[in-house]
Amino acid sequence: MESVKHRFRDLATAVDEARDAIDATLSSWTGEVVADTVELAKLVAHEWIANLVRHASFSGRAPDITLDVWTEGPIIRCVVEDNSSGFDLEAELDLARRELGRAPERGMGLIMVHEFTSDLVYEHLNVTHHRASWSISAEDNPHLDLQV
Amino acid sequence: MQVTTMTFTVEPCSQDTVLVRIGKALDFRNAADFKSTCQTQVRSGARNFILDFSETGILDSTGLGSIFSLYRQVSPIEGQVVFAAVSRPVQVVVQLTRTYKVFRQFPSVEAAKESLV
Repeated sequence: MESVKHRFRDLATAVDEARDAIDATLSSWTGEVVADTVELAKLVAHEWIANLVRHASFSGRAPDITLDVWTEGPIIRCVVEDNSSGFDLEAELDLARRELGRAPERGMGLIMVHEFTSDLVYEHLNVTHHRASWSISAEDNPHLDLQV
Repeated sequence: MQVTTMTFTVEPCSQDTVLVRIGKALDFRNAADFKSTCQTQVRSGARNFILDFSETGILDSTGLGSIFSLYRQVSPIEGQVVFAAVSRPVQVVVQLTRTYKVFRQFPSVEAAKESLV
């Protein structure tokens, strides 16, 4: 499947548009297992873009977020690029893990992105251009054990 | 009497049990409203919450966190939080986070009411 690029410029609707875009792009996938994998892909994109919406600094620039999504066999590949000021993913993940207590109210989003995907890479292409990429396989069985 | 907040409809089922219809989404955009809605119900005496996910297309980490917050409020007073009519998107989250170990699930709101009321 060729990748399909979607662009979002309104932070208020970006997460919904991203979910719709994934649904539309992957509509030709069928079957019980892949349906859950598509839901997982939507969840991960939601969590990543929600993190941008809630925490990213665009320093007065008009937000510009793109999502590329395609499949390679049983694998969904996603790339999200944005023009925010970026962040230190590893530091934020470390902080989130340290603060993840019992029945956590917050801090799970980036951990979920990390745990539910493979090949997660976050690159700072320049000061105002960042790219996150990841894969989700219909053959994996990811999970996150939360202390509740 | 139904009470509808910005996004959540609450229906009393018994003296200490309420049904909360989650609607289309419980995520970072309305989790605070959910928490506020539930806190009001707890202050009014509710300790058992049936969450109706029949129409829910989105449950994210913040939404799940708000449910954990509710659980932490009611579990010390022997209350329960249960899920009813769980949609596929919500089921994916439940399976991924293994929260089925904590929150009982019922196939329908009626089944949940029969168990709790």
